[in-house]
Amino acid sequence: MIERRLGNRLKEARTRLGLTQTELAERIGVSRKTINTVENSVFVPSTTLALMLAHTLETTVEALFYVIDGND
Amino acid sequence: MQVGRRSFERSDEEIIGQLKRNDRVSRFMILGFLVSLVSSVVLFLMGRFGAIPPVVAEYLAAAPLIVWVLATIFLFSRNFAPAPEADEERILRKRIDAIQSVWRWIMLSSVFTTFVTTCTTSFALGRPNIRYPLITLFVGASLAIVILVYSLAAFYGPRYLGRKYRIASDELDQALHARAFKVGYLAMMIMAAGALPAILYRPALTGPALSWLLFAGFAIPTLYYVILQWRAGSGD
Repeated sequence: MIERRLGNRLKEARTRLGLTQTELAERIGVSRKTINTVENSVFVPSTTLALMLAHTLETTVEALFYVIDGND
Repeated sequence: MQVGRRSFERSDEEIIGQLKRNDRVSRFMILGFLVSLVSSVVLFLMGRFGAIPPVVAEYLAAAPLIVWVLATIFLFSRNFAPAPEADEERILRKRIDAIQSVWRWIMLSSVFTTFVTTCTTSFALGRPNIRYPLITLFVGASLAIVILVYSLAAFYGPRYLGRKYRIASDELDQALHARAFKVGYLAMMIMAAGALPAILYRPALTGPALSWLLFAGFAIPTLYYVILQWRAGSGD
């Protein structure tokens, strides 16, 4: 079975806007730990959170997240 | 000046009134602590010298200090209350990390409190008082109520403090909470399975074994949740 993980470009998008994790967390209304764990691919966000992240970072969900196959 | 925002400026009388209330609370804290400490020592000595049953003295010795802590918390929350706007969702959402941090400390202190209560009560339950069976019942019921109250707090998370705090449980918090309580369920079942033969083999162990089982059922998922929360996402 191929294991799939969720990769992301959250850090690039966040730093492009000059935001810290805390600032991004405050804008969305989640904890800084949530942003950190999503950024490090430890926590897979819900669709709602993914959409909110994309909206706040002025990008799309597809541009922000991608799937990493186990074989990659 | 921002339009539509409440002004936080206060008159000199209001400020002086607030400071006077703060002074009263500070005095109460210091005096209350001394009185409760002396009361605890007196209760302990009364038990030692046979004025009251020793098991009652052992159990009630901490009560004055507990009452003092609760009274202090109550007075602080009344006199050092934040602005009414602090309860609004937009403010609470920006304070999620702070609320979660306070909640972790509340949970840690509750584990410590229940540990101390279990240590003292399991000792008493291991030697049931034949002359005063109601004392044994009171001790056991107290432990059960304390653990039940704290378990409800651990189960509900920050919203246990009030409905408005439900937003402090964001997605990550809910996921960690679910994971911790899943592990807690398994640990509880393993320990209950171990306790049953032990109790059947030595019925005298029933009281202490059930006490520690209750404690473990609360402490294991709670501690695991705190550890998971602390480990999640360090660094920026």
